[in-house]
Amino acid sequence: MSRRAVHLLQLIAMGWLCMALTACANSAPPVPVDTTGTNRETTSSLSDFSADDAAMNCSAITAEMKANADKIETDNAAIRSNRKNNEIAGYLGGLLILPYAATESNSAEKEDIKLLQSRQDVLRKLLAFKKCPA
Amino acid sequence: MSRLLGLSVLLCTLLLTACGTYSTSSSTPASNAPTGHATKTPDQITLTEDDITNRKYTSLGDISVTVRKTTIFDSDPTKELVNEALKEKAADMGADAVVLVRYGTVGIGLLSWGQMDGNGRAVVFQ
Repeated sequence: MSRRAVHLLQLIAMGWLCMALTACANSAPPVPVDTTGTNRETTSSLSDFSADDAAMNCSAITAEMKANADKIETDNAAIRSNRKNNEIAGYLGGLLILPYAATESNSAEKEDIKLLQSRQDVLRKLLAFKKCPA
Repeated sequence: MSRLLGLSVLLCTLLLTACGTYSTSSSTPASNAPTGHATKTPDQITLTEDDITNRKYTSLGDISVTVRKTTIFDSDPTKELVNEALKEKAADMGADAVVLVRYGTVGIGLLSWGQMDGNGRAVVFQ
């Protein structure tokens, strides 16, 4: 293989690496430990929650969960709006590298979603612990 | 040369006409999960992002699915497609519902220009 071809392949490989690091998919968060099924191996107790959380009533919990779900949807919408741009830039970047400047990783939104989903799990557990109406 | 051209045209045609999306799935059975549940059809499965607290259930295990689009020209995987894949997997396990469903964000993956993950817990009602 000629030196020029090797350089071209290296550039393409770099392009793919850049693409993988920018516009990549985020995995779904893991499902929390089962504390509500009849065959659960652990049961939740008041000590699992912070003092502030333990003091929340059912309506406060559901209100925060609704607000978190709305924020997650807003973050997802921001990520989706950059998808086509990322795909085109990534596709061209596989050949030319420079278009990577046009990609948007939405890392702030992805991090925000991760934190919000983790908070939602705490609130769901609290909802079940307090036996709030479904 | 003409053979190579023919092969390229065939490859391009295959890429452009292949199915829009495909999914893969896996499950981690609960250590004390009951066995022997008859399989169901996906439309019999209830799916929720929340937990079900007004009805007793037994966990069969956690399931994970990934929906990938075949080519860059196909539309991105959606929550609805992830839900379908989760229902199919849960139906195979004989579950009645999938609870605590959560989704990843759509983006480029190692094997696809667009993929989306989904996780949930397959359960049977008592």
